[in-house]
Amino acid sequence: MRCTVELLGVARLRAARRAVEVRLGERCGDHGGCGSATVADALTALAAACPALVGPVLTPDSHALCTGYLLNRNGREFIDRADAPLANGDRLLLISSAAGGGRLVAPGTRRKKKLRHE
Amino acid sequence: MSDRLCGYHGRILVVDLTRQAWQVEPLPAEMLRSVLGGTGLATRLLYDLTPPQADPLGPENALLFVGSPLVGTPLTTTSKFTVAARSPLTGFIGDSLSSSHLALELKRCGCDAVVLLGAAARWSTVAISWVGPEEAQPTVRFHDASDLLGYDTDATAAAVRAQLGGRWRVASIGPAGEALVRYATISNDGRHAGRTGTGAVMGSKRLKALALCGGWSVPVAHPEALAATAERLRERSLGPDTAKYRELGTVANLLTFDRLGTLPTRNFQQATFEGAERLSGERLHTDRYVRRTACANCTIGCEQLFRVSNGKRAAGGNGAGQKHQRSRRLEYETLFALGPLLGIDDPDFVLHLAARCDELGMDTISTGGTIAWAMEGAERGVLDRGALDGLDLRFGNKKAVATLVERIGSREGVGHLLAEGSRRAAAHVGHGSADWAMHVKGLELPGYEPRSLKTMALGLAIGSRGACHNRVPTYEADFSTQVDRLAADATRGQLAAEAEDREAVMDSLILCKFIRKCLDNFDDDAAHFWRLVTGWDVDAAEMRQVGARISTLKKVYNEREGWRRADDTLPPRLLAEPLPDGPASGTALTQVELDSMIAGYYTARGWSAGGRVPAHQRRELGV
Repeated sequence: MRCTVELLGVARLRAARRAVEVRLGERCGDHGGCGSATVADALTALAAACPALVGPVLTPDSHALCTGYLLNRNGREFIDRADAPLANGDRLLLISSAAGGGRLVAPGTRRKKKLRHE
Repeated sequence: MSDRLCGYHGRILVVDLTRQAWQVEPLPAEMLRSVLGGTGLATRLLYDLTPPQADPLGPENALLFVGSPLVGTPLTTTSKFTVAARSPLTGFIGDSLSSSHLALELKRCGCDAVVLLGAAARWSTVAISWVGPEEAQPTVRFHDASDLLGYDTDATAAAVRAQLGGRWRVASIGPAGEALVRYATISNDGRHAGRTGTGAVMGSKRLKALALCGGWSVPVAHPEALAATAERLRERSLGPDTAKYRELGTVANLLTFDRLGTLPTRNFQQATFEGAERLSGERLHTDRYVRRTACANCTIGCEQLFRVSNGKRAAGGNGAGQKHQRSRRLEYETLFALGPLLGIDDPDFVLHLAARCDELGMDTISTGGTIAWAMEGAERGVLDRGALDGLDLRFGNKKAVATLVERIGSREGVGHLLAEGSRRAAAHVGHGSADWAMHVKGLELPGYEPRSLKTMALGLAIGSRGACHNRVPTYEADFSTQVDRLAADATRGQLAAEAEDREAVMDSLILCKFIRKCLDNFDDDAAHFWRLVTGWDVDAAEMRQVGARISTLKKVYNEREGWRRADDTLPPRLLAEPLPDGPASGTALTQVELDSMIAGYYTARGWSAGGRVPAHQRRELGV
């Protein structure tokens, strides 16, 4: 199946590309069942297509979104789960977050120091 | 008392422009603790110092410049102040924030607020200096400013500093403020207190400029701990939470909003714009980026400067034919209001027009919103060319827009009508044109399409200063998985109340909104900052109480000035026409949905079903 990831904001500047079409295969689980490709698959494919995004936008290890970025599907639905299934033809918007809310924040990106330390 | 306070001076300076007199008045610590500073203190003072139903452009309306406990501390993004008055655009509370060195100078002037009452007999500059505790009183001088009439905002400030000295910081109005354009701004360091028309209030007082020069410092209770916290906040302000603001600025919103079907276009007749790519922040950055700058004491630096080419030879140049190039700053709201809202996709033109609005001293959102109303009126045949000074005011006609901006700034011809804002202009013209006057309470809508951002729709409808994205920023919920932004329900009321209270604290401490994602927990961190500065034993629960108190106080002020339940609404178009385009095409916002959300908001506030503040809450406020 094919999905398109449109890069907006900082991601577009870093990748110097407007959009990336990714081809995703079906994913088979540990117990033999096969399912649709997921957001995580799309982001992994995106990392391969746009290495410049790895680090500032996608984490080096799991290719999850770094803090400050959001994903939206088809201009309608924000997605905050890496295992969310995708459908053929889906258009993912990779957005520089303007506001709080759902983010695919990768492990390890949490702050280690609190502001408060009296 | 002021000797015991940390973070505050504990007094205000009240200047009577009519009598050219002034006095210093104490501010009780209890009042400061109850309303914090900034917008909270401004609301309290406005309530106390102006009579009910004061003519917004009359001498009895107070014009306030209000500081905050955090300004002047090492905490990043805190060099901000509030300007407040009864708004000549809405008739309700008009409060506007700005970031600049003027905030620091206001704090150095030994007062927590400067209150301007009355009206000068002739055009004046008021110069206030107070070098420190060695002087018992400030020095206030009234200078004739007749020779500054017609000067733009920057030229006015430059002339005043040339007269008084470069150490002075200046707030000024341009020709629009002189002409009492109801959405005139107050400029400071090139920044603007933009919304609700406080520049017109300043003009009504025949005050061309306010100049400040002080030498006071304010102690903080825990300087070492504050410095350590400030350093951690500074580190975070340079991290991923603010990358968008640092690398692209708010103009990044335009293309994203287009893709989400939330970009108001051609007076909210569409939610996407075919010229969005050309006008996008991404394209501006690639083609025109010059550099970025920062407000005073800000480590984020969100202000992006873009190259503009005006096609004219440089004044005084050698005639070699090079185009005169300069850089201009641009923010999303200006980009939206002077671009898609008017059907314009020429970045050069938008950059020029934005700069011209700054020079004239006019709020770009209301300027764009009012012109968009006129454009739709022209296309519908309600406003013919005779009524428009012969201008062909179709959407996208740049030449006509440029002419209109000049006429609004001077109230010339049809500009006199449009200087009144879309609500009054529609009331004057009639013929159903109020249906496409896109305002709430008289304040033109910002660049967020309410039909595809339904929590935001609620925030815009109930906002105390009218349609504002800053005071009740419920778009944060819509741009997340927290809610379905295309649906509405009564639970949005609680979200709106919480967002409004959080912003009330932020606008009163004062902290820039762009630092918000750098905080671990807003209430805890806000209390921590306030505690370190003042030494008061405040906690997160008190911060929430203070936020709710300030929000309620604004509402009580508005009730006094004539608020009715019908004022909490949205323009008829948004409740009658489904979205025609974009990914949310066909989505509608019904009156029932809006009323349900508003009822949820009133319930969350503990107000009556009609939206009135009950007696026990008024008693708690002492009003």
